[in-house]
Amino acid sequence: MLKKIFSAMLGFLLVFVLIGCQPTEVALPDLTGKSRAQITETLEGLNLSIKYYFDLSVIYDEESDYDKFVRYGKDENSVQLAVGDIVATKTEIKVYTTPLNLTINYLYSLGDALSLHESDYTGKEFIADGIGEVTISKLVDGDTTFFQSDGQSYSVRYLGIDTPESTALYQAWGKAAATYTAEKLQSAEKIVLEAEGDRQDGNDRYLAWVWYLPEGGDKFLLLNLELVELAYSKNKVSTGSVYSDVLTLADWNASATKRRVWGEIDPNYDYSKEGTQMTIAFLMENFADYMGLKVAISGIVTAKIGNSVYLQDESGAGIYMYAGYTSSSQLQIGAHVAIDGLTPTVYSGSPQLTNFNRLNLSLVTESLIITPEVITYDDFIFTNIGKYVTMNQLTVTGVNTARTSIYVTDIEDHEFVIRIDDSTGFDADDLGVTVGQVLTVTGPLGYYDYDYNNVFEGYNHAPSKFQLMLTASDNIIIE
Amino acid sequence: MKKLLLSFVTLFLTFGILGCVTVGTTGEYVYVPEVMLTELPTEDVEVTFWHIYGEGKTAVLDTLIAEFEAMFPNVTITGTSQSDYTTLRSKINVGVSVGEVPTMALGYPDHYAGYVNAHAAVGLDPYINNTIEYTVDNPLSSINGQTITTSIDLTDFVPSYLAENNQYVGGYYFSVPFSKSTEVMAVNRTVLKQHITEIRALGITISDNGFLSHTVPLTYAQLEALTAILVNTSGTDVAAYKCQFLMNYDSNANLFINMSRQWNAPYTNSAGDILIDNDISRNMLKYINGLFGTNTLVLPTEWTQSYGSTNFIYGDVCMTVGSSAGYSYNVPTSEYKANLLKFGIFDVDFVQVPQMVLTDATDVAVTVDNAAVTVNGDLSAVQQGPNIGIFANATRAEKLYAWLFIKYLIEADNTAWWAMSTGYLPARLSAFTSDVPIAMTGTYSVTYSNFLQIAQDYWAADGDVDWLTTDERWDYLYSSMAANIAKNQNDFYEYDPAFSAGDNSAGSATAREEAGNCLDDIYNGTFSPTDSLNNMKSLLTW
Repeated sequence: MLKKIFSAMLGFLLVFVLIGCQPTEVALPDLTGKSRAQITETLEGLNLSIKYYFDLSVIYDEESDYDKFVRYGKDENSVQLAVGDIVATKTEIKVYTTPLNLTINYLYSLGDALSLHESDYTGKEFIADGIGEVTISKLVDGDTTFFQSDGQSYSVRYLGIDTPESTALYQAWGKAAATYTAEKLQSAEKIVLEAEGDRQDGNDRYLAWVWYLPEGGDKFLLLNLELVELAYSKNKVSTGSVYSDVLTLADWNASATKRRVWGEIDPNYDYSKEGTQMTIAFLMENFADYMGLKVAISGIVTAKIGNSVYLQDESGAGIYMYAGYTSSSQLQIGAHVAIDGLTPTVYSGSPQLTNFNRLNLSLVTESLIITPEVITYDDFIFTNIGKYVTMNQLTVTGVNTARTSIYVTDIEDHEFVIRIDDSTGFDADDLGVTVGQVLTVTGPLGYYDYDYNNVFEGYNHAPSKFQLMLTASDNIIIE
Repeated sequence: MKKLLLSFVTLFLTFGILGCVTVGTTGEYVYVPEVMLTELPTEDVEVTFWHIYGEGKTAVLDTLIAEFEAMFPNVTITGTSQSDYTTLRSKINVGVSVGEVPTMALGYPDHYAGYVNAHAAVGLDPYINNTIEYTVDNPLSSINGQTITTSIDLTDFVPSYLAENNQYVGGYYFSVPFSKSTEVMAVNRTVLKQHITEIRALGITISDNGFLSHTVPLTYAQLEALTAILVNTSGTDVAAYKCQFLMNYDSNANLFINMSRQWNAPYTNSAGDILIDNDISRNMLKYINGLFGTNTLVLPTEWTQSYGSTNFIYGDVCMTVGSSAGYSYNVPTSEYKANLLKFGIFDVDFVQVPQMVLTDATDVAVTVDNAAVTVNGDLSAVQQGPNIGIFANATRAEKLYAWLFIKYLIEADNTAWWAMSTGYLPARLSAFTSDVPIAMTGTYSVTYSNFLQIAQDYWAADGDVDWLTTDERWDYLYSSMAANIAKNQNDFYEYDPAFSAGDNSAGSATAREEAGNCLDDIYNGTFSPTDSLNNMKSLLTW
């Protein structure tokens, strides 16, 4: 009996000693290279709790860089913690990590619930039947492509997603999304479009889910979902769509990683507000170096196309600035303006400035007159695109069906187009243009190459693709 | 079947990923007021703010964030756009169950009703009524040495905005107004101008340049009369300046709910009762169906669109009711293909949403199924737009700074700037009368009252103003129009009571969705008005 009591007392004494010897303080360990799972295991093993933050201030180059410890945060007294610092157990430690690895959770995992079979589209055509195999006509950006089927080409906007812009606007991850979409489509063995709900949007683009069969693959993949899972887009799916749930959950998972559109720095995007100050002439001569970056320029408005304008500096160099739906009363012909935060891009081969924001515009002076420079076909070079010019002795050889393109030859039989933009409100018939007439036309020099995939391909633009933009009806003289 | 299978498999996979999901706390709500900190926390604090704004509005928000962070250098506000409200709400609902929610977020009253029910939203009254004064003691702060409070003057808010935000439990505030809007009607003034004499013959006030009244709304009876003048049911007749349809209504749900208020037709109540099974609602739907039949009223589904703005710009419809924040979508520009603009780039004006009556508690006779029906009508215009609140998961320091940020966002000058920059409406009454100029561009600064004056001057001159083409007032004309109309309607703003699903009925968000579906079913001929209402009831109650 006594022996039992003594043993029990010894046991209790041992327990109390052990408890008493539990550490009340620990040193913060070096967590370099550890993932969040490993960090959690390590710190919880030290009787610490963790609150995670992301360090989004650094550009990460390799997938192996993600989901890694960066540093400790500050304690409750705003003292920066570091490896080796002594902290009390049971306290909450702030830990900063890199963004996390993206994982494909749904694209390959849902079997028949997320699949496309040959029988679904065989014998059908997308425009007529709402589903059908297509081929690429022209790449645009991450969520818009021109496809073709049954002899017609049409613009398709991808359903359920909205990748950042990389054409008319230039946004972080827009170019990366466009590149990813292009790579997947161009390497695909087959592409099938599937309609759901509204067939077209307000811009006359068809709406579709885009399935593609990877090269050598045996299963169609849904590109819309893939772009969300890989954080090239946030989810924009309509409630009631058959893909609503899976896209919502894919969005949830991707957003938790803070990758790409969820906050990661795009290494190929200029986050500066104002941009680098330069002349238009310098920009045109060094266009490739400033593609996608921010610039600040000043120039005189020489022509207007809707809200958009052509600007020209004192040296005579010009450029087109796309304003989209953003109007500004300050952008009047003759106005000398300074505009910050513009992004040089190309659209169908033509250099342009995008990301116009009224807040970034300053009016220098009003009512300056630009005298157009008289040029010839030999002056159809890249650095002259956007310049305000006059061309003489142009013989009309034809007009397109829409009456907005006047085909002309110069005195050396070089062929090119005089283009009347939709926004002018007039066409060739309104101007009384007929075949055989000789014209003198003044306007900005433009460029249009339908096959240009919006990736700058250098300065050797084909002269035959240059256009003379007719933006006002009194800028044409019929001799 | 595919949808059901996909949803089931998706959720199964997701639970497998998330592991065991702890459902949010349920049960009767017991209000436990936050205990206020007595000093400003000095440690680094991150406040995460989930919203849905696109790049333009995010840029405006970022400016306000930068100003706030300059005031409190130890605070980082991390804004994340979740693209749309449905996604935002879904993520928060999932996040509540796993303890991962932002510090603060936008949300509709329906959303916050759910968050309150899940014990996830913070009661804001302690912050609103807090009398503690905090001294900013940070040499890096732009307000170093100043004393601040968390309290706000509730009397300075639009009353109906406030009422929407304390309707949840016990009259406590769980959110405050932020991006508010209403509905306004855009009209094709170019078309109206061609029918001045005929319109005046109907007793409708219209100026020589086609401006309708901006202070007195059209009635539905007047719309029916205007149909005979402005509509060619077989298609838009450009030469005759007639549209195929008279008036589009963007939100079918708003049409149902707002008409219910105008008809005094029971819809729902704050207790969560679904009250639609009544003769007034049935007659209302039959009346609306009659308007469909004469092309007086059309829904975007006619063009398989989500909104009618594009077809308004194309000239298919002469008038369109939509959000005041979306006014710009109803203004034709050269960005649209010229060959699609039947009336070219026509003149647009904005007026109030149409009403059944012009004075509350007035009887008006309408025709329903060829029989006369008397409607005892009231004035009503939708009050909409998200509010902003804080989540309980946050630390006390995070909540305090989140509240201070909210307070900064809704300060009079900031709410005015936010409104002028985004198309939303100021939440504060003093914003309307503030004499502090707000810089809109590098060269243009204006007070909110002067911003409203832009449209007022334009209307007073019957559109014949002597502004130079470079006058920056042109850039704000349409937004000023919409803001004036919104202000003129604010005496009869109404909002839906927000409630979660009960044991026998759906929640307010589902009720709203089914209200819209009800009208779509009538428009598409799927159901008769009576059957559609019965179907709606069957989906909302069990």
